[in-house]
Amino acid sequence: MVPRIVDRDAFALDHISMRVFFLAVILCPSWLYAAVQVGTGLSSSMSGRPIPGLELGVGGEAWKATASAIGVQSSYYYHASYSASFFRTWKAGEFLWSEVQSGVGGGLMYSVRGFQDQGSTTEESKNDFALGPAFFVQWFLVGPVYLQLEMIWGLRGINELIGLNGQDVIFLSLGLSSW
Amino acid sequence: MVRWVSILFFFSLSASALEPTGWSALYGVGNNLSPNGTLRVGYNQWEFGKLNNWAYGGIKNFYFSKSYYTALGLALMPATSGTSFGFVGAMGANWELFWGVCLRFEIAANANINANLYQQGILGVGYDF
Repeated sequence: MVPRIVDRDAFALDHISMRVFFLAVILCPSWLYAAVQVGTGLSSSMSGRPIPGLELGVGGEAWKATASAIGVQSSYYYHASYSASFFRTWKAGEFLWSEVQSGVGGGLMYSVRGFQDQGSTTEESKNDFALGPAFFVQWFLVGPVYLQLEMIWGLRGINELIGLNGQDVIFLSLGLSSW
Repeated sequence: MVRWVSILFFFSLSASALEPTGWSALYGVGNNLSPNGTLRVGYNQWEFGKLNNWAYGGIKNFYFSKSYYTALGLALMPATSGTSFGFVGAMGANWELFWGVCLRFEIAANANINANLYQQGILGVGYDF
């Protein structure tokens, strides 16, 4: 007869997880209201080149998290940029008879690019990182179709701040949302 | 300049402003504290004029508290490749200092249909009539 083995630690962990889950269901129903959005568009991190990127978002009644990825690669160079942001959101109002949602929060961006000159055996690469306050305005054009402008204002030194300069990470996207 | 900004910031710490109603005006400096960064005439939530160094048009401010807002606008955007149509999104603060005079700080994202995307910072003084 094979003895029955019970992993008590795993059982206890599952038990606690279930309690936390049900507590969350009872106390924080708005947190569990999830919606998604998928969009494509242009980013300032591509230095003016019209390269399409992908943006995904997930959120609840009063919050939203977004992530974007955009990149290009050829035989000679590559450039990729990734960003992630978290926002406190609200229904802002109407803009030209269509609903606007908006949010403020913070975000970060990581960008990497490399270049290999013709005949050269070495690759020159550079990466950037930005972190700072962020916002978005999302204009629902027709039904679930939206146009969204999102920006992370990457903070630099005090001199740049006084000069009203930040490292801009702007993403203009067109997409669909289940909000 | 920095001293004046510091003094205005000090005054704004204990200040509060309501969402503007009626007519208003705004003048501000732009990136690198360049003069004529913005010059707008406002009515209720809307503002029209030179929104920043890259955009001329109209913008609607959506206040989420007494002094803080996000905004969305449509504008014409002059660029080296020619003038084109675009969108402006912004986040800002509007602190009332005294007698209808407000201190305004805004960061804006400009995006036009030629795939030019620029940030702009605005620091200005407004007046609620």
